[in-house]
Amino acid sequence: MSDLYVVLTVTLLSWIGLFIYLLKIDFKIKELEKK
Amino acid sequence: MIWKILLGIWISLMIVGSFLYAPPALGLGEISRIIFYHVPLAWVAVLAYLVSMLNAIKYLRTNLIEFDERASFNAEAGIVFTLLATITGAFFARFTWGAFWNWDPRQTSIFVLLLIYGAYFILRSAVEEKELRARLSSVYAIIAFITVPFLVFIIPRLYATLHPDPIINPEGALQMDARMFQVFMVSLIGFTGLYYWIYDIQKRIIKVREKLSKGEY
Repeated sequence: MSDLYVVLTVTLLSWIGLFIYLLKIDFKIKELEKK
Repeated sequence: MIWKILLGIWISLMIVGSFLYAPPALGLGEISRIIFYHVPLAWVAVLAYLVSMLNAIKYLRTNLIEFDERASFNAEAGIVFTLLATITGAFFARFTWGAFWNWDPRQTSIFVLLLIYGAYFILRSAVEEKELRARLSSVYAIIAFITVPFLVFIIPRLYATLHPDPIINPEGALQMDARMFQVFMVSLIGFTGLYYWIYDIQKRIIKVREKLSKGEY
C-alpha cells in the first residue's frame, strides 16, 4: 500500500511542478501582450 | 484565468482519484491504473495531429505563416504526447507481458507514426526558404494525418495483439468498472484541457513573436 502512496506523491508533485511552470509562462506572455 | 486554476484542481483530483478512488482492473493489478494516463495521452496526441492538419490546410488556403507555425507546434506536441503514451504503454507491457518492447502490432504502428512525424521535422529543417518550407510541410502534414486513423485505430485491430481490448469493445459494450470509468472520463477531459492550454500559450507566443519581428514593442 505504501508504494501506491509514493507513486501518487511523485505524480502529484510532477503535475504541480508542470502546472506552476505553465502558469508562470502564461503570466509572462500576458505581461508582453499588455506592452 | 479561473479555468486554468480549475484545470489545475481538476487534474490534481484526477491523480488522487486514479490511485485512491478507482479500483485496480481485475487480473491486471495496480499497473492497470496507468490506463488513466496512457489512453488520454494517446487521445491528445491524435487531437494534436488533427489540429496540425487543420492548420496546414488553413495555411494553404490563406498563406499566413502563423498557421504553418501552429501546424508545426501541434506536430511537436503530438510527438511529445505519443512518446509519453509509448513510454507509459511500455511500462504496462513490462509488468504484464514481461518486456518493455515486443514489436506488438500496437507498438509497431505507434513506432511507424513517430517515424512519419519525425520525417516532418527533417523536411522542415531541410528547407531554408520560409514560404517553400511552409508549403511543403503543410502538404506533408495533411498526408501524414491520413495515416493516423490507420495506424492508431485500424491496423492494431486487424492483427492478433497482446494489447488489452479498447475501452468500448467491437460489440459496443463498455468493459470497465463504473468508478474506473468516472476517473477515466475526468482524465480524458483534464488532458484535453491541458492540451488546449499549452496550445493557447503557443498561439500567444507566435503572436508576440510576430509583433516583435514587426518592431511593435
